[in-house]
Amino acid sequence: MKKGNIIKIVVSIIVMLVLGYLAIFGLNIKGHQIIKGAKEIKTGLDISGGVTITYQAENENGQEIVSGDLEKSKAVIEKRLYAKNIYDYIIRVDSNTNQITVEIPTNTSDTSVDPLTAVEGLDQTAVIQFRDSDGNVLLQGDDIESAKYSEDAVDSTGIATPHVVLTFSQEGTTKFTAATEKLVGKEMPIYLDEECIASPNVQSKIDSSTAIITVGGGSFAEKKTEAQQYAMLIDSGSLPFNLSVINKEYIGPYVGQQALEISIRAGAIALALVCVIMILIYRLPGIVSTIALVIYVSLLLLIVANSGTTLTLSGIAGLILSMGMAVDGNVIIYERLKEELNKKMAYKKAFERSYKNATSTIVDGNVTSLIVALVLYILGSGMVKGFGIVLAIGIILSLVSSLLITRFILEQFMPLANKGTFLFGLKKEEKEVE
Amino acid sequence: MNFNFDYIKHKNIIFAISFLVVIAGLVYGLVTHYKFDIDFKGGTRIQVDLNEEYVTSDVSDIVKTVTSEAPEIQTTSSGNNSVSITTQVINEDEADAIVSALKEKYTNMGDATIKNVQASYGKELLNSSITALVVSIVLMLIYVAVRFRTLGWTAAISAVIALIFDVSFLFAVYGVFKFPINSTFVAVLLTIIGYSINDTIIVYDRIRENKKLVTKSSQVKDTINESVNQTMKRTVITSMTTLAAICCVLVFALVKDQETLKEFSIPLVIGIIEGTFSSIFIASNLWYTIDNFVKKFKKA
Repeated sequence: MKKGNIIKIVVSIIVMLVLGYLAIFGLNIKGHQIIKGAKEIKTGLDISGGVTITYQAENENGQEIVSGDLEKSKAVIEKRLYAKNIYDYIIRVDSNTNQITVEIPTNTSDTSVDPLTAVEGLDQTAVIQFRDSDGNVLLQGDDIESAKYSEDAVDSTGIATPHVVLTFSQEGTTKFTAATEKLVGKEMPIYLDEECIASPNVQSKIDSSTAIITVGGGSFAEKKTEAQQYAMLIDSGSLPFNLSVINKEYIGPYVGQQALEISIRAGAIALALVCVIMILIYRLPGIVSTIALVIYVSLLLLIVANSGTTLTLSGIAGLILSMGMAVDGNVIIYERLKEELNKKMAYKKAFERSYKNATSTIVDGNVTSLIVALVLYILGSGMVKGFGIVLAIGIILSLVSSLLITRFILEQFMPLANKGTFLFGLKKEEKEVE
Repeated sequence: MNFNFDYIKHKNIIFAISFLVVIAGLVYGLVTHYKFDIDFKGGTRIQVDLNEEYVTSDVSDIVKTVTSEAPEIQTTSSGNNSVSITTQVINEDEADAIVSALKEKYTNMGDATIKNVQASYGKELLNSSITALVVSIVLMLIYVAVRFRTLGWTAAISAVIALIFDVSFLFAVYGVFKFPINSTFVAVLLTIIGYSINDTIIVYDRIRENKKLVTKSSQVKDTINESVNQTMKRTVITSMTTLAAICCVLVFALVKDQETLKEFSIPLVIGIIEGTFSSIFIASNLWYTIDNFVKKFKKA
């Protein structure tokens, strides 16, 4: 072995230790988190506990539900969650099946928020009311036919201005005319449920079936967002469908925590076991696998933590499974290498040939697994999706691990292949390797 | 450790036994009915630690005040007073009513884990699972057909039949042991497909490489045997490391009575063993048989 080889091996071990440390603890510099460690990994509801609820939109009178309608429901649900002081949630809208899924994890540091009560009433039909400042209801629900966002010019200047266009029903028009007459120069607050969402000023009496609401200061983009939000919320009062609960799951916070601790322990033992098996079978190359496997697991954890991938219990099971499968690449190469070395081939040639033959085998084998992982991710539901994504990341990383990392480290050890059969687990009778 | 087994010679007996085992399992499963989990058929599951000794019939009676139908009640083995109640399809309010009714009787009970699935949602999930399964198998067929076109289309067909064998075998196991069929099962099934085809590809890859060395078709038999034997050690070792990893999860899941982890690890262990078997004994043997059959057919 040359000096260069030893340096490269030492560097590899240092890299392994650094990555391992980062994967567990992350990196904080002066209180700023630069790299997230395993502890910061976002956990799924099955670990953190919480509630997930899926609503099915069912149309009332044969009217088709368009995805814009679902977005309005989403806006209402978000508004209602804010009203309950819940900011940590996920809402998914599936316009193929007309479903809306809401997930709220348990907040262990603030037990005053109970996710189970938080989801109550989220699916109620929105009640939109225009009131005067004394709280008298002026118009509501069906009086407003539609509320649409527009950015046409609203005056003679011709400057594009984000605003909401309201269209009233016949009855609504009469009510609105009377209301604006009474409230010139005053506010006319608009309520969703019991919460005020906007307080436009009445500039003059409006005797028309349409009216516009312009929004206050800020940049064009800010005004646009605000006006779009208003339009969606006001329009939600007249949505042509009902929401019904088709799936609801509540998981207590402690069940998942226990499962998490158990799987971490299982994972640690699995890692050790796989390394021991590799070392017992392949000796020195087995140690190389151990270094590569620790790097593999560390990188996997770092990617999951820093990409914000949600880790579910099934994801952890996938991760542990992938450790066993990740060494497959190594096994294929080592078996080849032994075959070649036993043919009394010089170590350099044997090394090159093994990699040349094994690479396409390894890639072929992994592409199929990758296809399955992607199918799981794309077509799977919640928890299964988590399993798919971890499996996919794992497969790509295991390719990197066996084709690049193991190769680099193993190459440094190759000169020893000439010295003794024991280190490489070669046949005894072939001791006279050239 | 060198392997020297004539797989082709014993192929008929291997096929016959495998086929019989799977068919027997599937028939038994169908006759005694498969157990579909609430994931797919809809229903409600409430899991809760009642924190006091309880009588199953009491719990059942409480549930019946809400649902009228008797629920399925499972006690857990972990030594505490946990109970798992599974009902037919009920709505969300009824599920909450059951929990409140339980709380009235068992005042100290812990936080209940509730899963309420409506039939329509379950059906959708089942459909998307079947789609995932079919799409995966078709993609495997295309991939093997393209990558191993020198072995002929019969190679791809054989690989896929071996996959269908894997899927059927797991279904047979679930039919016999009455494990619940749910989305976890589908995820495991897909994983096994990925794992098993991986093994098959390694063998095919060797056959392709060795085939370059022989030209006479009479030697194909030897090439296959040689290739399977050459890759055997790799297949066994990889299965060993993978099994070792997943068995760690299984052992912890069993000792600590962790439902989700059990649901994952049990079928994975079975599937990995079976998937290894099918790639060694089924895929390439089948290829040999089908390829010969097609060649004879062409000549005639």
